[in-house]
Amino acid sequence: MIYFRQVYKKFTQPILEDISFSLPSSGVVAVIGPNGHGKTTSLKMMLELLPPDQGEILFDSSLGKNQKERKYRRGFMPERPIIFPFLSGREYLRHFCSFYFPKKSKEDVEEKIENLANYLELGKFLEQKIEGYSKGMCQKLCFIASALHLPQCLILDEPFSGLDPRGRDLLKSYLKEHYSPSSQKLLIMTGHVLAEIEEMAQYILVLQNKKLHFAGENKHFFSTIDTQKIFEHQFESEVNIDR
Amino acid sequence: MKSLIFLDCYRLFSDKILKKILIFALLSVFLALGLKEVTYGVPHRIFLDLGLGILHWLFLFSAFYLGQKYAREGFENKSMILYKVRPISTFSLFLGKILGPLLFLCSLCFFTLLSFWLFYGLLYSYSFFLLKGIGIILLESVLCYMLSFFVGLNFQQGVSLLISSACFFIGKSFSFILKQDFSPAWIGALFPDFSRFEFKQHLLYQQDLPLFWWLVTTLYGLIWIVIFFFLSFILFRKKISQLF
Repeated sequence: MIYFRQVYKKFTQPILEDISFSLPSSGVVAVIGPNGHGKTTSLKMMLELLPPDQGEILFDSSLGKNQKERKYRRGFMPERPIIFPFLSGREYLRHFCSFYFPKKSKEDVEEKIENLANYLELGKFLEQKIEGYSKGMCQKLCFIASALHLPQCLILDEPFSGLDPRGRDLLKSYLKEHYSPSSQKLLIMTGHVLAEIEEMAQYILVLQNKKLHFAGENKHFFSTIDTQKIFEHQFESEVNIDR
Repeated sequence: MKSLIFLDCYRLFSDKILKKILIFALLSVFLALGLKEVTYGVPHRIFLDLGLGILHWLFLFSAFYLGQKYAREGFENKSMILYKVRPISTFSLFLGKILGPLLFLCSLCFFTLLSFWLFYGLLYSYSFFLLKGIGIILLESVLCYMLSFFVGLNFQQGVSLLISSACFFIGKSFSFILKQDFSPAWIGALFPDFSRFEFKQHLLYQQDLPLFWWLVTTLYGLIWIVIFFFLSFILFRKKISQLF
């Protein structure tokens, strides 16, 4: 569905070097690796926000024939919720969902907002101004804004950070229900908690030291790779900074 | 795009500074009304000079304030990324961002100045000259907004307010600068000549300006608005591509 071919990206320093992989067309893909090793950059490339300096990124026609179509079929939630405190939760959702739905489907959109917000236990706060929301509530709101149109490819950057255990469980069950391998939809997420990755993802990509360290099935990853080593580099860099 | 325009208009209604500006505008009209009562001879001239003058400056200030405040906001709070991943073209996004505050500004100017015109008409007589002048104030405010939006895309809020105000005052003094021997003729192409929009002296002494003046001034203002619009779009597109 999404193919990376020898992708190279540099900002002030190279961040991705010779990355090649192909993602499955459905199910959950987890992109993991230490901080600053190119996870968010690769997500932005999948979102076509960043072009590669070298190599190419190809998209299957099931995701849309052109960029505009692909945007309709994609959803994205950034790592840090971006909110407008002067709006109520409902107004925020109406605003961001208006880009995906035609005007005629207003009642349908309201129903979808209501259903998903209630599912994530945010329904009773929708009329409140966002300035009074907690971090977890903002996270849920941003998730609803990105997933309400049931995108064929949903990209979530650390979706569980900031959520309490109850919120995590609700979000996980929603994602499992809608992005199972049989759903014909793809969920790409980043994260650091390996237990959550093991629970959610069927396919794993590991980015480390600018390279693709691993790309393969969940079972294969957890049975063959020393997961502690993946984050070792990050730990060492943090210790060096402290010193 | 409509959703973006609506969002900006909606938030502007709750903007505290703009509320204060509006209250100050109303107070200034009442002040002008009070002062004309204590004036001997030409009370309508005092009312026009003071009332219209204060309103004019308040709208110019509002234009600078709105332009510099909203130009960079989407880039600074990163909300632009939420729009860029959605099915909206960069041009529509730009239009949505620039038109929201502009629509608000135009409505604010139009309704306040129209009320002033009606009020003046009730007190004295309905002046077509004043109505045309209101159009010129509206045009000048839009131009100031576009200038400020363009500068605001380049610089941070406080700095952009200073720079766009400086450009405005240079433009206001063009009638003086261009008369000097040392000033090269091409300097008039660098900034919009805001001195061209001066009509109040003629209004106060009821010396109507020729139709040619109104047409040329309107055309001149529109051309600069279009220039700033396209310059802002080019810069906006560049900033979006650099954002990620």
